[in-house]
Amino acid sequence: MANQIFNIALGRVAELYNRVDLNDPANSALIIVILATSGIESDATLKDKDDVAAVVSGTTNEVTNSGYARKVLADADIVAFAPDDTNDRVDLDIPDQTWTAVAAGDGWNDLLVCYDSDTTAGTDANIVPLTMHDFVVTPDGSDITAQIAAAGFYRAS
Amino acid sequence: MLLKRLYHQDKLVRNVRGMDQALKDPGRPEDVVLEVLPGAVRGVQVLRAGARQHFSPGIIEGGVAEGWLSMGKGKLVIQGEDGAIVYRIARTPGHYCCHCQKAVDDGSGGQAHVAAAHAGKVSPDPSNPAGYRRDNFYACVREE
Repeated sequence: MANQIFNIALGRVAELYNRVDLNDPANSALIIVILATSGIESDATLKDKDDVAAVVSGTTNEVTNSGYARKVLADADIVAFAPDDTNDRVDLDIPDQTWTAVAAGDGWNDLLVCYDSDTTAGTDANIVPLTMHDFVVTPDGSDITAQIAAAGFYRAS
Repeated sequence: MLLKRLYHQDKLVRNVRGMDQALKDPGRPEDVVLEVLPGAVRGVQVLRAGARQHFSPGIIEGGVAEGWLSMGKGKLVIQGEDGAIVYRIARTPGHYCCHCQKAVDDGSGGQAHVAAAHAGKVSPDPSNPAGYRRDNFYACVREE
């Protein structure tokens, strides 16, 4: 498995991140979702999925460990949008994410950064998967931290 | 938050003679530009700043290194081109109880605190069902 960008998000990640930063729409947010090892489909299959409901519509599943919940990152939670004019690129960053006291159960396989235009709508069919990152962990009841790379989770150039 | 980084002009490295009268690059004409060094960041312009902002340690370290951000006395100051933006640090990175916001030492301390003080209660924070959380950022509130 490798890190990848979902086809539906190609060319859109930086702008959707910017929309969250702008708080436009008001209830937009980045959503962090963890996929389980069991039943995970190939990168090529998952890359074609256009929303989170579709991502978990096959054999792929979201983890269900006690202590796990999706992370919802609104405008104040994401790092400042700051284009790099020297290197002609934009790095998108979020703080490290920690899940506390995650019980044993599902093995963790991948971390998804997704975009939800309306977190009050409550439907996975409206959540767009943006990027997918290897995140293999075996929960044992302790805290789990996803350490985001120094340059961020995505680079547009 | 939207920041515009501002840069010093690029520095041109020309083919000049040194103390020994030798050219830096003898194979090329005198005074020709050998290299363009990108200008260093000289500051930022704050184009958009919210009332609340979570600053990751990474952006703070970068801002301090580049000289446009300082931190001290419980405040975080962005020295913007158009004036300073001041944020009060409401919480530093660490573990906190979601029920009472009490700071706890670590994960095991968080579990012990929740078990002792909030046993049987559903976490008020849906993103942290265990009842305690770890903040990996400085939670800041803008001062007017």
